[in-house]
Amino acid sequence: MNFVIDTIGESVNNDEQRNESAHNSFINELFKDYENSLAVQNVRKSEGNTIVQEILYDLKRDYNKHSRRTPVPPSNFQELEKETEITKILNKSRVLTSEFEKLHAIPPIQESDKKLKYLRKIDRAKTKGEKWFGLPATEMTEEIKHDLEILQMRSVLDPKRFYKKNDLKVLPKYFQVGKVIDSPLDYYNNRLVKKQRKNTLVDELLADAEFNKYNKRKYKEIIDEKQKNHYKAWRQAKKLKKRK
Amino acid sequence: MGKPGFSPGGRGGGGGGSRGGFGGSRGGGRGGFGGSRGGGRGGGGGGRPSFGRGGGGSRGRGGGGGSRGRGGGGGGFKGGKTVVIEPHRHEGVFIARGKEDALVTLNFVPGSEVYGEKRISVETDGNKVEYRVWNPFRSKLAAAILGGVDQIYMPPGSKVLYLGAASGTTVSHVSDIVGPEGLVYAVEFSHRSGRDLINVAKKRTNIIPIIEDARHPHKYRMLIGMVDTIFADVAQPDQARIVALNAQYFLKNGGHFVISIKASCIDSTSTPEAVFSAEVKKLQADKLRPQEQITLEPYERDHAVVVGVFRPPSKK
Repeated sequence: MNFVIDTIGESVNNDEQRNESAHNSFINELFKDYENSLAVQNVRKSEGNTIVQEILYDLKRDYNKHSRRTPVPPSNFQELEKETEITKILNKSRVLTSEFEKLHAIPPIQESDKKLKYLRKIDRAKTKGEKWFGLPATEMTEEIKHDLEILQMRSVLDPKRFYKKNDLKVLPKYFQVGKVIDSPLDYYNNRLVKKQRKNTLVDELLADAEFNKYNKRKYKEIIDEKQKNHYKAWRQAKKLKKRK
Repeated sequence: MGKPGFSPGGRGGGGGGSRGGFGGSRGGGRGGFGGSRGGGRGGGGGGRPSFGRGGGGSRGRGGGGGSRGRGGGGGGFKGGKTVVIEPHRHEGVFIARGKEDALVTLNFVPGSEVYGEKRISVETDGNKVEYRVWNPFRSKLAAAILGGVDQIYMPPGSKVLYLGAASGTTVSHVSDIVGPEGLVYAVEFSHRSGRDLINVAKKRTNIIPIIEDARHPHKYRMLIGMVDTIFADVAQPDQARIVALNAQYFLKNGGHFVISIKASCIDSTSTPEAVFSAEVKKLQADKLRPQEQITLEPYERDHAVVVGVFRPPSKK
């Protein structure tokens, strides 16, 4: 509520107010007229603009026809942009997904320290580490496994070669398989011919005729020896073999 | 992991020329030891002179032929053979396993060799790396590693002062080991072998060659920062003094030294054992505390490698 304390008198005040209101209405009318004239002008202007735009559009179309570019539709462009932004957010968001309400717990924004630690551990285990220039843990395929086993049992490969103890008791985790590079300084017998070049150690051994000959001979010797000295055992083995 | 013998082939008598192939390049540098070791390596007698390369610059098959222990059995490192690379106990060092085992280092400059050594290429999904075979008959550090030394104190990223670099064969392997973050300051007095050393250093950015007398470290003090390890292979009678001087200038407190001592170069009249113990005494007097000593048999005769620590921190 407003309290007006009257000190001078009512009549004078009322007259002044009336005068003011009359004055205001006059000014308002003037402005109205001005606004109307402006509006008319604007309509004219916009008419002119549309004509110009049409002409420009036609020109552009012709130009695009010549330059074999697909004409860009003038409208809807901004809407499209908005849509892509929304899809971007939707793609990024973990919360705004279709199955969000089915989740048991809200997924965390940051990974927990424990999880990070675990991930780092997995990452570390992929290589031997900086100290060995990141020697990787090569995937153990069947072929590579056979190669490593050959290395483990290499003491029986060559009768004229002797080794110290076997220092490959368990198959290594971090290793790489490489090839010796030919050197032009080498004598010819210090490199393999094309026929002997193979991808794995096993294949190399199988391509080695001398190795095969030796192995065959040794195998035959053992079989013969068994037949002679352990006749019964040999027959047993033969029987078992047949039954298969 | 057990120590890998540079197994068989190597010792008997130059398995398939892998050793025979080397000999020549040093030009009698580390020649054959009389007739005691059948055939194998070329080059005449004589110790390793302080200026490495003596005469014949021709590299390649020095004295390969001769009486080969086992005729052309074929070493494990023929071109084209498959080998498996494994990490060695020492950081930055690897073992290549095939029919034979060999010490290898990761080549710092793939595609280039330094002294005609064998290389091994490894291709794993696109990226190619290369390893270089490290011959213990040419490098005392490799011989020490194969001899089972406990520590070489040159992990990747460390700074090493190498006294007596000669033509840079071992230095190249040390530069492989310390890698792109490490540094090797290679000091060599002889201009002749220094030339080869500089050629090696041109390709390997982590080697800083210094052609200067190691007896006067003040002459090159402005080139060298604090180092973690000093490796010395100078084969001079006053070797202990040289190492001590350089340690005082450049070795950090608690840093390590690895010295190869050749008995015949220091005193050829007394027994090697006496020479080694006398040298160790000298080192101790200069606050270089030895921790380990091994001989380099069968790779070198009457050589010892002493590993120790400089001004170790007190145990309080």
